[in-house]
Amino acid sequence: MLAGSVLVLLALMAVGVSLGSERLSLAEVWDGLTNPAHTSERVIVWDLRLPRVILAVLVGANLAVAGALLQGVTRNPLADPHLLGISAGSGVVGALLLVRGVDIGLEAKVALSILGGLAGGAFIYAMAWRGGVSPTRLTLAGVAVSFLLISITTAILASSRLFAQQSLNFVGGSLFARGWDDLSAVWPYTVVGLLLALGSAASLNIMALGEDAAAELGVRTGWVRAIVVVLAVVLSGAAVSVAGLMGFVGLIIPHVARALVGQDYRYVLVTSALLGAILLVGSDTLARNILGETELPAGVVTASVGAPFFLYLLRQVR
Amino acid sequence: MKKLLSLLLVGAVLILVAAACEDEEEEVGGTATAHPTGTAAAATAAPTSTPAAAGYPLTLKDMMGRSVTIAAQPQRVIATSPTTVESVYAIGGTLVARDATSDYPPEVADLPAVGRAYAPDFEGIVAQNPDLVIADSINQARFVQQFEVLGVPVLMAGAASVDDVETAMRLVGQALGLSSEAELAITKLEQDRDDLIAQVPQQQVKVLILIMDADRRIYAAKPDTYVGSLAQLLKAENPAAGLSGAAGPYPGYVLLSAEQAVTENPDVILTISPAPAPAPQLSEILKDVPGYSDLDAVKAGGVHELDVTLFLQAPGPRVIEAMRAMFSLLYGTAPVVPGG
Repeated sequence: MLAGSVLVLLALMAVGVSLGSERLSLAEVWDGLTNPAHTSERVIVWDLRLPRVILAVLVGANLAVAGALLQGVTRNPLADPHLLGISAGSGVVGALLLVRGVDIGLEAKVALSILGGLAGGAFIYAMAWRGGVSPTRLTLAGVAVSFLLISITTAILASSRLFAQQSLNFVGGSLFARGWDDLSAVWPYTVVGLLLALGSAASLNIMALGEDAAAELGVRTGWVRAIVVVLAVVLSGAAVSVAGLMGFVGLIIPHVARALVGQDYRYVLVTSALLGAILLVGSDTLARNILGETELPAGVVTASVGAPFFLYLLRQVR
Repeated sequence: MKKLLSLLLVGAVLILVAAACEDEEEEVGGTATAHPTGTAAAATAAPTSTPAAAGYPLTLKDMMGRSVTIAAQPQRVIATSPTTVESVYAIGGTLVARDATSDYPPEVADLPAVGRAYAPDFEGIVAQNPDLVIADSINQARFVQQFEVLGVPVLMAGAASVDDVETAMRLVGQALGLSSEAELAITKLEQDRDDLIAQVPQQQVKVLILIMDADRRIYAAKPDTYVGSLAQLLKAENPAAGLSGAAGPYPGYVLLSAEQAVTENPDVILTISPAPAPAPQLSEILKDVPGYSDLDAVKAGGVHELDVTLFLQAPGPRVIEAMRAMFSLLYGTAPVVPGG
């Protein structure tokens, strides 16, 4: 299964690097990838397409794993970084930076986005706290805070009245005009976040047995929940900082992953990362190519490709 | 399980096929508009082909304060906004590609388009093998990072005032090795401008320049907008100067309530309508907007539509044409055009 997913991902990445507004032959694409001489093929393939494809892998993996973590920790199948307000704090920061047009450097932008997410997460925790945090209260507080923060984001974008294209790319989720610089600012958070997420898999497996059983087995459920939420914030905050509010990936991919590999979180997380990457690389490639010279926000594609697939899955799997 | 895996693969293949098909369609459409041989011919026929021009390599400070080094006289130049495209042609330069929004001078219609001004097609730019890209320092400032990836010198130039128009022309002239042509064009522009200003009659005219956004909110241009700077040069009184309403999608324009408009009661209202043709123009809508319908200017036929290209989308070397049009609308008489 994993090998199959990896193959599909690599194939899609190859397609993503091969297609764009300029039509290049496979030989030219290969030359652009392997020959460091400064040619137009090199710039198109290596500097414009490749970093975007890799960013799509990271953003897709981040959002899918964040979704899987949140679904595990809240034991709620509808948990998703956006719905639970985990990425909404990052969204507010992103909207503010976009509107103010401040240039603080990409590293600072990613860090601020994650801090915004953490502030949002802390607020949700505080609101859900009553001598501890139950999954239900966390979900409800998250949804409420999410609505609050998303309306603030919308208000910020609306009051600035940016040109529609820019707002659309942020709200819809897009990788337009992203490159190596963005990638180098985001990958450390992604790699560390994904590794730590894998490390939490065993605890998540035990927590799936229920609060009491987990406590009896020596898992400190409160701490695990807090740490996992922080991980989800870091992963989704990094994704939001480069791709805007890319929806749907975190919601559906974990379900697809569970349908494929069962309930063991070690496999669910790895599969989610791969499938999230597959969905986003495919969606971004379509978004770049479907309208010719102008492009769609990739988030529009993730939803319109993902939703029917999800519905199909819902009817097939019981 | 197996079924799901194959399902997933089928999905991936579908995406792949769909993308490949789109690509081919695009290719067919692309050959219809782009003429690679034609552009190559235009490039060699360009007046920029003076042999081994002196002064290169050359380092310029562009209008975003960046240092741009140009190794040799550029032969394949791309401009990515109406302002930059028109600046190049105004000083006798030529391009190998332009943005899809640009349509002046008419010969640029034959050039391949590399994206729209608000969403440049970076791959298309690279594929044209440019040796200089001239991008817009006002509308495309946020793309600087991506332009720099292209590995080609990128000069940022733009215009928010008549002074900017001159600065942009001078900068582009230096970059293209056409400085003397640029200075000639600038001198002509300044003469025409001064000649026009000298003709401004004594009468004091109070003007509001209005624009409407997608939500039908109305904004007034302050004097630091391009169109506002032209009205100021033509000595019109612009009450929007003292207003501090909310900012809108158009930088330098402030939200204007009907009460404020009534209080100021301008002699002339000039309108700009960014929405293309089927949408009604603001000058027509205004008489149905509560409050505005009572204004003297609206009742007495003092509302005039400005050309959206000339006054909003393509600030640049056609500034004199724009000022003459505005002169006529402000003072009710066309200015005398020297030699015309």
